[in-house]
Amino acid sequence: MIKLNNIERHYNTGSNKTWVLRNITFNVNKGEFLTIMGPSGSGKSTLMNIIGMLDKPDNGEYFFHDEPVHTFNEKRRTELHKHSIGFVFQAYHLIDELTVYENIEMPLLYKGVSKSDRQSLVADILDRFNIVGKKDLFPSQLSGGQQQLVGIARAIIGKPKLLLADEPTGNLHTSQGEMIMSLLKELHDEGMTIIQVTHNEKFATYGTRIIQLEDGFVRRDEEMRDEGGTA
Amino acid sequence: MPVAAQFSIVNFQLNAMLINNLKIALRRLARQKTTTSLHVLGLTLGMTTCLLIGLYLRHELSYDSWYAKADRTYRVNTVWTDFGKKSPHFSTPFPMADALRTDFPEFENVTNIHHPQNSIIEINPQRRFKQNHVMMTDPDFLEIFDVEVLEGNAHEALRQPYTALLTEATAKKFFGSEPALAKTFKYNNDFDITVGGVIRDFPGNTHLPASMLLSLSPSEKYVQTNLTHFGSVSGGSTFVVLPEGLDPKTLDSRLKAIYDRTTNNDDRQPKEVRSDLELQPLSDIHFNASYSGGGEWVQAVNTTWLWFFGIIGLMVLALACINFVNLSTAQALNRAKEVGVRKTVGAGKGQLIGQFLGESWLLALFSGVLAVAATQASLPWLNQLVNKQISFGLLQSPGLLSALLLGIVLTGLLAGLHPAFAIARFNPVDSLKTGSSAGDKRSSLLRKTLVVAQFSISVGLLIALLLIGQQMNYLRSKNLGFEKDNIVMVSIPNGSGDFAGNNAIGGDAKSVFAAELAKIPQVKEYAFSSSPPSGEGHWGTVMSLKDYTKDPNRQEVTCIWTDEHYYKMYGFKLLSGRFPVAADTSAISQSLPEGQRYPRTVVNEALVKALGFASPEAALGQRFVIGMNGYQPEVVGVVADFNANSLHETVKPTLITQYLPWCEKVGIKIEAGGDVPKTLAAIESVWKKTFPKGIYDYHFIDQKIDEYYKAEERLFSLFQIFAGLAMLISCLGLWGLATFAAQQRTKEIGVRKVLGASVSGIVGLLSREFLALVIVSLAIATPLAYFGMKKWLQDFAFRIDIQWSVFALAGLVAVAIAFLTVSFQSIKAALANPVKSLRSE
Ligand SMILES: Nc1ncnc2c1ncn2[C@@H]1O[C@H](COP(=O)(O)OP(=O)(O)OP(=O)(O)O)[C@@H](O)[C@H]1O
Ligand SMILES: [Mg+2]
Repeated sequence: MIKLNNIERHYNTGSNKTWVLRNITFNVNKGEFLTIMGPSGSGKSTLMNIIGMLDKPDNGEYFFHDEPVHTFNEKRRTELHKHSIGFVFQAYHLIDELTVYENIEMPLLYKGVSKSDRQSLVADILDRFNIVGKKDLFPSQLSGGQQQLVGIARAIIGKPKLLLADEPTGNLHTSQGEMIMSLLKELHDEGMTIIQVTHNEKFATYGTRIIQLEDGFVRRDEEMRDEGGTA
Repeated sequence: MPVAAQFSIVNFQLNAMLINNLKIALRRLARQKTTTSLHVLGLTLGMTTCLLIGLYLRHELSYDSWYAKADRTYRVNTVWTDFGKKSPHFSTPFPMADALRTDFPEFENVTNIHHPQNSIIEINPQRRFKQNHVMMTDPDFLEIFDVEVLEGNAHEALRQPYTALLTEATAKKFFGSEPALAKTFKYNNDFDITVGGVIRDFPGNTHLPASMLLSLSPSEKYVQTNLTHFGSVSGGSTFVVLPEGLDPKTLDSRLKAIYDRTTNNDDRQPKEVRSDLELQPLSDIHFNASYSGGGEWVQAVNTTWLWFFGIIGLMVLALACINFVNLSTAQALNRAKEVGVRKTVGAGKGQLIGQFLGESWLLALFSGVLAVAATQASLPWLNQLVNKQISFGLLQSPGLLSALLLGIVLTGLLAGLHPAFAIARFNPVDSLKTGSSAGDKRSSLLRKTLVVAQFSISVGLLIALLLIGQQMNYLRSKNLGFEKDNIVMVSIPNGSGDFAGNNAIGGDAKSVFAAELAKIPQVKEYAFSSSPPSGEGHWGTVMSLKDYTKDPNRQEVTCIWTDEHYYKMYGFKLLSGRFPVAADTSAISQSLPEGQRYPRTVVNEALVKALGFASPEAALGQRFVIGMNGYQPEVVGVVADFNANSLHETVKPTLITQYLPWCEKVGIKIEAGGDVPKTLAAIESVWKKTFPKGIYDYHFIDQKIDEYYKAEERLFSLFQIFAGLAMLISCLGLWGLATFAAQQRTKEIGVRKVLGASVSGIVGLLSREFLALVIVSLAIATPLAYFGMKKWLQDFAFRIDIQWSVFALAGLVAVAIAFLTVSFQSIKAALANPVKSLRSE
């Protein structure tokens, strides 16, 4: 599904080049639940942004479903990610002026889904996440865990092929974090391809595979055994 | 899927998105009360100012433009050429209309508009009064000026002699609620006039707002001018309507022929002196002051002021938009997250730009509605200020409505375009980074530029305000070179029947009246004259040291005819020689043979210079020739220059000499601080006793002088208000920016305070940047304002010097205002508890 070939990314700091990603090459298959780990500043978020098509690599090739994303212009990338990728953020990033319902509905508007379809899709997901009663509340009226639930609901409402979650539990208490992780696992069990970044060893084990980044290089890449958890 | 269905789905999606965006916009606006109110307040103020100015300009520009044939209508002007010097005049001799009709049968209409000098109406012996704005004319007038007839056969009425068309208001004034048609009244004591019709009142935007139209009648006494003479004009005009497609330039030689065969062929007149006709487009009349005031009743408007207002209107709107741009881009950071999120869920740049532009349109629309209400509410007040009847009538005027809508759309676009692009440009990767606060450098530079632009405008307006104010003050308080306080001007009626004792304008009538005046204890002095020193109908002719008829260097001279009391009462400053005495009158007697009439004359310095005498002393005893009655005035005294006209004009060579028969007015100096109404009543009663058939009228000359500047004063008050609004708007903007900057830096300030920074240090930190911008603005505004005002002042022959202290003052005021505006926020931020500001992160 995803094919990264020699991906590199650097920033210009003053007159120097600072390499953030070096020589990243790996594939992600459909249905995988990949966890990216690594110390702070190792380039995890940068990699996620590239995979999410929000950012472009300086070198290397990126194929998404065999499409050469690295050759696309911004407009085509937007078009592609709009239909294929959902994002979950550490800081939730809900829009403060929109209600829970409207936040979840927003991607459908940009996709041009009809009103009746939108209504049933949003209703389904509210129901599934058990937040029907909160649908008219604003983000500020929710707990962090609830906000992240809405964030995930928004990310998957458009039925993306890939879900990217950059430290989705980073701002949450352990119990809330566990709730979110089991939700992700559930989604994975239903067939969703997921890539997450986390600093939490335990949460890493919810996935099927771990990639360890260090100074922009892939240091380790290992498959986990199915019945999750070495913990 | 059929195309239509597809389209409707797209449409449908668009609507859903629109509703979503509208929702978010409204909620955001409601939540961010300060910003929203600043935006709305600024835009509303800007739009209101713009609308008011627009309405005012629309009114001025609409003058005489609304008649069906307006674009083909011309006023026929007289141009006098005197040894190469041309002087245009709006008036034509009475018989000119007939001459044009004969020479130009192709003209669609020709009308003779005559303004009789005096109109005394007698409804019945108990109700006699002077009527203003009386016009004598012919039926063609009705067709050229689209007169709306309410009653009677107006054309027929103007064809019959001694018939009147009254406007509704005049009919009401004359006859109350009774029907006016077929009623009669007496005109100037001798003529019985029948009302032949009633017409609609003339609107506010015509330069000929007649109160009644009288038919022309072949009686010189009735029209009060010579019916056949081409050699003089009496304030009447001729208007012609050219047939469609005729270029007025092609008529030049045929127009020339009329004066060539009537006056230019006079052998006694040098070839270098001639009269010509010229066609002036009707639409030009209200804006061209060079034709002796532009007309009889409505002064031409000074187009410099119109430009001024137009520019201010646009500036104010620009200021409001700049505020919007500044505040929006400053706050763009707050929206970075939203943009990031929207981009990650698939929003395209175009959709985002649309969203943010939509928000500014929403604000513009909301402000537009408020502005319409505010305009409606403040219009009566504007009308009072400029003394006009400007109407709004938004719904009746589709043009205005669409202009307003277009204005709203443009304002929204101007205000929203930059912020929309700036915000939509945000990179989602950066904007979603936690704790990101990377400012947009480009926006911040733009913001600074705009603040500088805004402050430059404000400082420029402030300088203009101060300087115009100084000039207006100068106009009011300048020493004019003569006494003008407590002097009442009263006219002596001319014409036979007016004087109880005798039939002459001079002689006995005046001495009888003078004797009566002298009995009133509060009357200190009085002086008969053709006009007071301040103007009101000076006579003019040409003068020369030799035979003026052949002198190409002859010059114009203003003449004032007086009695011997004039000089002292008006307190002229004598530079050399003496004032004439009663005995000097003998030198001007008409019984002397021509060539030996040497009136003893006082002249001003300007005349001394014009005739090239070395000094006021050297001029004494010298004679020169004037183009009147063969007089050769002899200089007996020289007075310091005095302002015989408005201060727009330079002092012209002027002579004052005694000749009682031409003195139609009397200036009466009354006791200052006494019981003025009682004194006035006493004067009125002796006047009425002396001239029982006249209509008494009086005014104070200082009030008349003030009227020279009324229009300017009015426009100045308007300017003051609009400039004030402009400055208020720019302060609003600065305040908003300061608020925002303080908010942005709350954390920084907190850290600094924890590290031990003092309150004053922090205020300085926050205020410094703004003050620097203000100073740059000063540097830009000063030269622009200087040249602008220099140009404006050139319209005044007598004007203030532009002093640098004004610029310093304006700068100081601007800095003070900016500092107060900004430091309020800075101090608030500096005093805030650092624990609080740090915790909220
Ligand atoms: N816009 C930028 N300009 C310069 N350097 C950048 C920029 N964005 C990121 N970096 C650098 O790239 C490196 C990798 O950043 P990245 O955010 O990918 O790290 P991370 O692994 O996600 O860290 P964390 O675990 O703290 O989130 C860091 O050293 C960072 O300083
Ligand atoms: Mg990161």
